[in-house]
Amino acid sequence: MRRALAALAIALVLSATALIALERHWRGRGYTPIIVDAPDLWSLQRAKATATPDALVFLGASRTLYAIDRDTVRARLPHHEPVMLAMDGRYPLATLRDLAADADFRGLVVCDIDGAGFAAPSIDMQQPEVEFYRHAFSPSRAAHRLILNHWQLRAVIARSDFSLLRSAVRAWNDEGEPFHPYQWLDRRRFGHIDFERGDKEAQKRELAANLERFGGHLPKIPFVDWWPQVEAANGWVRAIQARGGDVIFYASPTSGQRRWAEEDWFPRAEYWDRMVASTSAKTLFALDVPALRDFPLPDDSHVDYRQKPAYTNALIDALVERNFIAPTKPKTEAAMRPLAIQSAAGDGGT
Amino acid sequence: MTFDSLTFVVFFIAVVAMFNLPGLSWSARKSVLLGASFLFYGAWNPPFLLLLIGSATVDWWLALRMAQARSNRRKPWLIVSLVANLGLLGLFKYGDFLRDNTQTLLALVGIDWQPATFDILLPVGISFYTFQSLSYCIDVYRGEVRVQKSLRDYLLFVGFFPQLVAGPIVRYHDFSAQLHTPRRTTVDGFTLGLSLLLIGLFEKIVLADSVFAPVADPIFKAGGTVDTASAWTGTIAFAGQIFCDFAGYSTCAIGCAAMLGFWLPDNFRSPYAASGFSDFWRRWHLSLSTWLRDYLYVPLGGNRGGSLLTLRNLMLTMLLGGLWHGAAWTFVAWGAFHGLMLVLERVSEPAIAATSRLLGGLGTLLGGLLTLLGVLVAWVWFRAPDFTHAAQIHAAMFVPDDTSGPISAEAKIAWIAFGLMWSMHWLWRHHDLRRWLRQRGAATLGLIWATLIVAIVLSPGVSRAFIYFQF
Repeated sequence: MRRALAALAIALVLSATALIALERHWRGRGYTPIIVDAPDLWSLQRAKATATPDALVFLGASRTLYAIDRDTVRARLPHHEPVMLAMDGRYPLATLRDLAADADFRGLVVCDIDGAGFAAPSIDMQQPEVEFYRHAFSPSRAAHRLILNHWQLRAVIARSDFSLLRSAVRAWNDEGEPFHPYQWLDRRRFGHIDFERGDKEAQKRELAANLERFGGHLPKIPFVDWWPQVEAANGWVRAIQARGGDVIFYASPTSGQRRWAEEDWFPRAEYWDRMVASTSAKTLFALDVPALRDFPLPDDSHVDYRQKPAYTNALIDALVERNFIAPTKPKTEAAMRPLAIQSAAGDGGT
Repeated sequence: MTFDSLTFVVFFIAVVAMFNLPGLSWSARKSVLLGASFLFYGAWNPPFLLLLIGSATVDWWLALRMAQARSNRRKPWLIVSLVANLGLLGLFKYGDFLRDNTQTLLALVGIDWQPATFDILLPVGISFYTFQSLSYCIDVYRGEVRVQKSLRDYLLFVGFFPQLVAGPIVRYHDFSAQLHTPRRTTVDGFTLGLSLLLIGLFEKIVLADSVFAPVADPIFKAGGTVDTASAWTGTIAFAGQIFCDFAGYSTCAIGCAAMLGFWLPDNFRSPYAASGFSDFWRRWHLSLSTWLRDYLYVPLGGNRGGSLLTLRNLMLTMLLGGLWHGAAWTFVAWGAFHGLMLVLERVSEPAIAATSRLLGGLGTLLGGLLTLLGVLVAWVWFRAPDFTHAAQIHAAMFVPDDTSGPISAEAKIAWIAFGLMWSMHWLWRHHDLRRWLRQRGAATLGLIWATLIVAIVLSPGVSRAFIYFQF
């Protein structure tokens, strides 16, 4: 007994000392704990989308992930439960397809997508997370993730940047200290970007480099190659609507050279407007809404976290104004009917 | 639930506490373990818990009927058990494989057959618990064990959570005595168990998931091209990953069982220090290799029917052993290669013995290096998504090219880790880890535990499912 207790005491003292020393070291260098996005964190929200009848599901990539303010949504639309399924750097149609295939999903989807999002290479970008949710996510994984969230919210050393392996690789490559991230997520996956800490010119430079690489214009995707994905997405929209849910395709705002490049890449009249004419989903093109069109975007693409409530309010205003979403819960089935009729007629209201 | 999840930490603390509640009878403690085992399995996919219970209950009932029947009337019950167990495995594990191959064969003779497709999910650990249950029925049929009359105890034998989903495959005669003798957590068992649990988690989380998998995965990804350096790096990394993943699971399982006062058999004994393929199979996945020996190789005739029949039996056993791992021809190729090596070793036995006498220890080391080379070559089939990619990797390994660029720091670390692991296997070739741990003093043990804890906490990468869960 004495041997076991002594070994346990030695192990606890030594390991706690080492871990606390490391934690203090990294905190002293200005690092803070953050939630690390992962398939199980996404799956927790994906499960919530199905389990919550009044789910308001946000799909998209980084522009939505880092722009929607959860508190504002809850205050403005108290009968909806906001669920964030957008993913950094990946277009959302695989998730829309998965929601359509889910017989229990009846929520409202705000799907942030532009012309490139309907291109064939974009379709399966979120499929790995969908696969994980379908085949690997379990009650045990959910419980694991909930506990892990607490650890990640409290410990800097919970980040993989500070793992033994990453530290060894950095030392080997003489890389210096890890990158100080200027974007982060909360445990419900609503993201934040602090452009005062970040490099807002980096994205602009990346776009400029891409444009230069392709001789001033991003490579065109022929309409005939683009259209089949629109038709498929329209089918997924109809499946969700048939169960009482709905979908809003939303092209979020851009500014500066990015706005020009996107219009040049997928001219609205040739792509977006033809999608609008074909779909039973509601549609919103942010540049048609002055409050969204003129919204300050430090890198021409994303919202600074201080501006998230204002941006979310502007978006909800636009959706409510067009009757895409009710500010209060409709009292009867009949109250929903005008929306359904409008939707079935394909009047997107763009 | 997996050993490397935080859910398991909470679960296991609760189970150990409940199992050792003062005043609890042995029967009640067994019920606690059974309930915990069901929760452990059900937390992955609740409906498949019913499959596990149903399958084990059928075997328990069939074994009872077998025991009550006269010796010449037992065979029908055994056949029903074989059909039920292998049918279950066939449906869930080999259904798609059989359908696809039948379709291909029919297409060869000009018949266009378009079968319905079913999206069947493979119940985790089905190969392990089916084999465990099947071995019990065969043992009862042979009269080698006494039948278990308590359904609860039988379900605990099949479903005991430490070994339920990825082994070791426990034999009933090893477990039944433990079911009859009241057990509880002891200081010695807890100390040994905690040591093993931490070693297993270190192998899985630090080595398999953090060091080896990120290097192996991209190289074995379908559709990619590989150069000589990356082919060797990927193969070495996978060899490290599969050992640390699987041995890590087994070590955790043995450790958890020890903390509850149970003993489980060893599953690995420094396999990369094997000198010869027969030696490899005495060191790698021992519970499967002994199962295959006792329930397949020996019933086929073993080495009793002359040289040619012995070689045939060896090949058949290894082919089916390969297929046990997965429903794909690449696994069959892996098994066939090991079978071929065992056959070659057997026919060259006099020459090998003479060389060993001549070279002494150097011969053992040389044999070890050749065996490792063969094992590495075979791992490519085991891991590659298809034969085309496996052939590309094999070609890149043995036909040097000049396109290899500098390898990454991660790859260099994987090489160093594999080298250290290989050295450890040779140093520990004849050692027993459990005995070694029992002989350590408090300071050494405390230092080992602290090192393992720090390394585990500081490896918060992507959590990967245990590879052997899919088998």
